Amino acid sequence: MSKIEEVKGLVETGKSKKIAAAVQEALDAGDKAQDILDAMIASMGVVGDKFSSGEIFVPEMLIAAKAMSKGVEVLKPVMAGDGSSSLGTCIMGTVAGDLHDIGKNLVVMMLESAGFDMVDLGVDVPAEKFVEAVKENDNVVLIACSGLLTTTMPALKEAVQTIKAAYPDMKVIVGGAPVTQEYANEIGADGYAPDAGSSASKAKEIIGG
Amino acid sequence: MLTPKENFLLAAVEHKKPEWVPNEMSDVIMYGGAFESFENGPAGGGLDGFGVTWHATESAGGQPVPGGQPVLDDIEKWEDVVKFPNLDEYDWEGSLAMQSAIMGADRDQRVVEYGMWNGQFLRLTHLMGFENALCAMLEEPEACDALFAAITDYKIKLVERVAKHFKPDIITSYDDIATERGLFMSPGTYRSLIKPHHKRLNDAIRANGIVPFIHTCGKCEEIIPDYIEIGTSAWTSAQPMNDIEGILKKYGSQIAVVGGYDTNGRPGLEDATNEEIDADVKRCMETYGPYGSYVFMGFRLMSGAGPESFMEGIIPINAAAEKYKHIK
Ligand code: B12
Repeated sequence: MSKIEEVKGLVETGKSKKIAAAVQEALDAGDKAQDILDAMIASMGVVGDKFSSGEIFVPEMLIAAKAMSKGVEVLKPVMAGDGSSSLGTCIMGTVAGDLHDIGKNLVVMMLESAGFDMVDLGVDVPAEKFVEAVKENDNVVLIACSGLLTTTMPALKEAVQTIKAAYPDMKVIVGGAPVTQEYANEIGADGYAPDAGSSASKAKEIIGG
Repeated sequence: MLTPKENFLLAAVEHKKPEWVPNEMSDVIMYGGAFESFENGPAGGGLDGFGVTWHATESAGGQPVPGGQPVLDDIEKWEDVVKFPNLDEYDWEGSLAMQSAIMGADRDQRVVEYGMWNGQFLRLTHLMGFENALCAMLEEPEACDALFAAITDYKIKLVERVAKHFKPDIITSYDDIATERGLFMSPGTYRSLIKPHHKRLNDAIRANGIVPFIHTCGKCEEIIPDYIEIGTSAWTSAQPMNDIEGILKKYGSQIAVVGGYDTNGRPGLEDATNEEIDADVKRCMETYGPYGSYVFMGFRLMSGAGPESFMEGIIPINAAAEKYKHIK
């Protein structure tokens, strides 16, 4: 088995204690950092699909993402300054009044592994804070808002409308358990995805279009 | 005619067809839950008996929510780090008097249910943060198992105090293990790591002469047979993303279902209209009622800090329940 194959297996099975060494060995064996990164991104894609289809659960997905980020740590110094693979910056947060962040964090991980530079604003984020974050960060191409409570769905709407008022061309994607495609349309969001697995392809689709 | 209590117990404990569909939100005296500061911190927020910080939020209807710096980082160090509430220091009779004054004490008419919040899995998440807790279950299962056992030991001591002072008919263990789309963990992880502790707690509740219920939100239909196997009398707060009708058909003689209302859909919204509320209550009563072994329960999440806003959300639901409770 090639070193890269081994790294992929370690991401998919979430072996965060072993992965740093394996990535280093792959580098030492002459594999390119970009190829290793692409392989890990592909593995997270597999993990995301398995999660979407119900084959694996939140813990399996979390440990895979943890392994991936340990692997990326090894690659970072090697790839420093090489921003070529970035899809741009995505700002994400859970909307005002809402403290649920497990789903948001999974989406952050998936978007990050898909190639976005993620800025995570945390939970209970007021609408204006999303707007400020666009000013404070470079190359923002997408804003992702999460809301898990029926009582915070109006806050989701407010976030989308506040962002659109300040930046009419900014793309906004929304999600969270009570959110539907219908609701996303109603509040003027550019996209919706039902789970973390599908959020990455949806996000890429939105910014591509 | 039966009292509401007899009617409730017929459905929820004997798993038979009651005279009318009981209503959890009107036929039950609810003790425990957020009243217990050693479990959820003091009113308005603060530390609980485990050292976990709780906040009250408006969007949560003032309900306490765990937050702050996690108490436990490394699960393998739990024995050095985790402390348990001292239940002997607690003013049980004072608490009973306070809760009776607020919730009522008409024990001959209504069922007494003690809500034991923060089940073994949830307590782990409160101690470690949700994500670390979920990872720990896969990465350090032995340490998790040992901590779950210690939490269960503590809970059994709590059951003994509750039995002595509150004398409830029912104790409901609240352990939310499911999300909108399925279990948090795989059914295999639930069965190997959590279920044995749920069973030991159920057994202890029965040994104290009390009937055990288990609460989980979310989609959990896969593990209903497991709940039955560990002696659970009813599963509470059933949400309709589960096939509740199928569950009643298949398992109604072994476990009761409490819930049904679409708390996460349109009828659960703060601005739901009376027509939407009415229609969903009617759906529950007509679809699930005829199977027996069913107790209606519905609520809406309201913003606002106090129990008043919660009650305001329930009033139209209860009114509709009165209207449709008769089983045809
Ligand atoms: C865990 C949990 C909590 C934890 C949160 C811990 C944390 N750090 O996040 C705690 C205990 C703190 C909590 C608190 C509360 N909760 Co809560 N909670 C849940 C629970 C059980 C699971 C949510 C979860 O994490 N799911 C797992 C993740 C992976 O799924 P997810 O969040 O849906 O995210 C996925 C998708 O939706 C999507 N997604 C999410 N965001 C986004 C964003 C974008 C852009 C995209 C593309 C996709 C996307 O991708 C994610 C990954 O696949 C749900 C039950 C349920 N049925 O959902 C209740 C639930 C959401 N909570 C509820 C309630 C009522 C509360 C409280 C008010 C009261 C309470 N004490 O329980 C407080 C509110 C606090 C607040 N102000 O926010 C209700 C909401 C009901 C309603 N009508 O809105 C639910 C539905 C339970 C219920 N049936 O009553 N809760």
